[in-house]
Amino acid sequence: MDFIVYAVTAAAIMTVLLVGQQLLLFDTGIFSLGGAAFFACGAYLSAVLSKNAGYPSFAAMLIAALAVTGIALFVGVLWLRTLRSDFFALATLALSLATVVVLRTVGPGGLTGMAGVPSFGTIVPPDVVPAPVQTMLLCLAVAILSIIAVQALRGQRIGAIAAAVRVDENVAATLGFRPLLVKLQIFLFSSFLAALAGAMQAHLLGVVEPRMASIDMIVLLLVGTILSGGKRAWGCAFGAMVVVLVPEVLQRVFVARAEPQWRAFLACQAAYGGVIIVMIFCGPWLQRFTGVRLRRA
Amino acid sequence: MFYEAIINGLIVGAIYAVVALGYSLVYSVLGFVNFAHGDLLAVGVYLCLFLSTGGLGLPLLIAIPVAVGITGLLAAGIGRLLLIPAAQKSSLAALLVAIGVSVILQSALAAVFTSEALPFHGGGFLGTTVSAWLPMKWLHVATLAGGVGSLALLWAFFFHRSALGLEIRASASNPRAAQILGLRREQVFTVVFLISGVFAALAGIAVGLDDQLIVPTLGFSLGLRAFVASVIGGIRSLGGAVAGGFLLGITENLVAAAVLQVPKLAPYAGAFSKDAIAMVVLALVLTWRPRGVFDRSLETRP
Amino acid sequence: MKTKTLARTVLCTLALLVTGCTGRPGNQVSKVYRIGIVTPLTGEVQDLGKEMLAAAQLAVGEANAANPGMHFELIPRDDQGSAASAALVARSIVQDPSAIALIAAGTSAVAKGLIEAVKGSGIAVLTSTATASDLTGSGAPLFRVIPPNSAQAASLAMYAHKLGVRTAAIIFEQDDYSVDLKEAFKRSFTQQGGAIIGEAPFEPDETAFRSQLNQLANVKPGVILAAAQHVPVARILIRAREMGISQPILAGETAFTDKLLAALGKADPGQFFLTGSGMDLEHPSARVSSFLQAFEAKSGKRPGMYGCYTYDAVSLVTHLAAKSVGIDRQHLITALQELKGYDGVTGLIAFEAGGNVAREYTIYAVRDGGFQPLSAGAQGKSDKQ
Repeated sequence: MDFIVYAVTAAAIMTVLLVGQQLLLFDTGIFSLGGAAFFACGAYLSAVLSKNAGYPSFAAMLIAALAVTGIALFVGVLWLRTLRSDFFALATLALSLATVVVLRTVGPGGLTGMAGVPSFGTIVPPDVVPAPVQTMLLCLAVAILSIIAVQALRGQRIGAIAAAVRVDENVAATLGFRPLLVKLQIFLFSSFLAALAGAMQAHLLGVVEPRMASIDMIVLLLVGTILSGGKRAWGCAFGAMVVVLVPEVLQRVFVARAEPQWRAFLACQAAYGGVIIVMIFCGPWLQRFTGVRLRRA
Repeated sequence: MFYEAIINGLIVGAIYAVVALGYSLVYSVLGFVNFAHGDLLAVGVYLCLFLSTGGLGLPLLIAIPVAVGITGLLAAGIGRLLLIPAAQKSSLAALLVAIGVSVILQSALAAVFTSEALPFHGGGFLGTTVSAWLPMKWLHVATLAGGVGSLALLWAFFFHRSALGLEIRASASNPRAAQILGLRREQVFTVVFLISGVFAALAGIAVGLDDQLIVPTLGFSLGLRAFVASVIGGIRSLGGAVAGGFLLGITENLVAAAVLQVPKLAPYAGAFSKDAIAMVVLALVLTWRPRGVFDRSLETRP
Repeated sequence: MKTKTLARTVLCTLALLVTGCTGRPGNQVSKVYRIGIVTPLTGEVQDLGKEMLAAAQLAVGEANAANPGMHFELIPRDDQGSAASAALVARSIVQDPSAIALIAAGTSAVAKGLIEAVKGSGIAVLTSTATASDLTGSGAPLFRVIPPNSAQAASLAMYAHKLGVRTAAIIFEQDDYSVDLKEAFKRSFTQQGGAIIGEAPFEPDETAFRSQLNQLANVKPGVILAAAQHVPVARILIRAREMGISQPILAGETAFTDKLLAALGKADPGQFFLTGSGMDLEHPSARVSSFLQAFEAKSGKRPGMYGCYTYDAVSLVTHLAAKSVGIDRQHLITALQELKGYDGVTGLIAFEAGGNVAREYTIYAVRDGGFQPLSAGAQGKSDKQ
């Protein structure tokens, strides 16, 4: 039972993260590998705010998400304008990996990160509804809210403009839209969601570590985003579930068969790589994306 | 003190140069960053280990060429089957597929050989130091001479004299025009991967013999730094990649030497680590001079 | 379209959840005592994790054979070298009511995260590997069967003093254990009148070490301490000798593993000294001998130090549980606190007030392809903190 509660909570958090990534990649055509960086920064900032500065968890999460969005603003203005797609991807990759280094050296807790991050806290007294269940319901609520928000966004004008920008920026510009502004707005929104998810994760696990921004996390995000399908935000719930549950299931299966656990971990990693490759070639919703030509900034 | 740093920079710079060339070659001709390139270093050295002291017991003189050959063919195979078709869709698709291949290669190596550090001994006299005033091993001399030498040979004879080499250079400088001219695309692309795989394997084996302990992640961070080197030099410029490799190697070591002299910086030494420098340099170069230092292409933006 | 995706999501979720739940052991009729062990089974030090798991399994097997009415089981979990993973798996172990003890068999940093996670649950945590000084006294019932870094540092400093060197340089990894060992060594070494003339940190994934060793060689210390996990210590040793650095090199118990010997191969380690628990693996006593034989029969190779400590930790728990049938977590903690002396393979085990085992370290050298303890006069006394 506890496992189910934990799994659903983790998947809800991942959904929040993936919803933003899906919007960024499939709707606007921006390939960013920086989601992990914002995830980790949101986690660390919220952890520090709540553990060291004594803010209540909810406040810490919101403040952290907003603050990290400020970083995203700086990065977005700097790179969205001047870099074309693949270089932007590489720059954001550098951002994520640099974040790992910064967190490892000057970040609180150093190499192994910080433990003792306060949990979500309870709204209703814990004997009425157990605390983990409250956390789960809260995270589910946030996930559902973000899905609704993104779906609404798609129906709005900005969603249509983003689609136009993805297909051909130059034409979009001649039509009077401002591609850079739209890209920036979407980038900020997705970064906010990523940071919020990171903050939630920090309070769920009680620990923050530098490797929250590492290449493993980046691959995880890619797989989740790819599996979410391009069109519907609900697909992110599916992607999130897969990404959260597959490692757990593999571990239990391998442990039950007394096989070395490390093989489970490797199998999981290899499966992720395989999923990416297979989906690129076969995923129908990806045709729309992979068929797009290289664009100039 | 700084003399030693420069020597160390040359040692590691040679490796970066060789690996960076692979990135530049693939990017110039096919237009995407081959994330899987770094892991070919590990594949090469593990194959060599398996063929020699770790498994079949062949002498190094045989194990090395065989391992290099297999890795080259593996690289060509992966390129032909996965990366080239993906690149034909779009460069972002190829980037993603390369990431997937990289993950699979690392997992496969760790599954077969475990993530434990395995000893890799060999080379005999190559392990001895040249002399007191040249604090390098003969292995490093061999890598420098061999690496730079074979690059020079490749440059002079293959790229400038042979038909296929000329076609590769043409494709590298202008893929569209090459396509229009009807140059042998499939062969060009496959040979590009073959060359990059061969060089990656050689670099990996050199690193393995130098460290004498190998892990499956041997290629990953090294490859990433070599990629940064190729960006510094101008990712479309083959010569620039080589120069960038040495530049990064020397810079890394000079900074490390300088930081170690200042005790107050000790807790922050990690901020000046090789990975940190590489990532910061990458971000800076991409922001202000994405073309790289040596790029002479006519485009106004990369 | 939307309903279809939703339906697919729900279906897959249910399927995965069901598979996920089947891994859990159900309640059985006879009393089962479970001992959780959290150790790195993936990553660069997985060889140590596997060794410790094998040692734990050996201990449990022997306990089951010796006590037919009781049933002991291990709950093995991978900490993946990360404090967050350790915290997660530790919490899930603690939720199993039949789990009476938790063995933290990973690095000090991971142990810290683990202890934080299970602090309020009243479960006894034993560690066979985490030696950082600030682990005990953190408020959790922690019992260390391996002496802490302060004891290691004291023996090493004592031995350096005995060698006649007055200056030392330290090359250290940027992780909790190594930094703690470095600081402890600085204290002990300067207390004896020595001076630390150089320090060079390195990141855990460092493989070259040239800059650091050049820096240290230039200050010409009498001795060099390599405070790191066993793979970096092996690399440092190889690189230093290659570069012509001939000073004696000291290391902590992390280096006490056959892996280090294998990594050295035929290379001469020069003067290399490390701390160990006092066991003579080359000329073992009867008790130790039977353990070594049993271990080798089970895993095909000799155990290193960590395997021995882990075996002791698990055997201690099963021994105490067998003595008082129906023991629960609180009583196990009391039993551990009141332990007068348990004869483990690593020596006599009794815990001081802080949870540290009251024992000292012995200095070993690498000779003839093996670890030889040096004569009794070389041992140091720990400064009890």
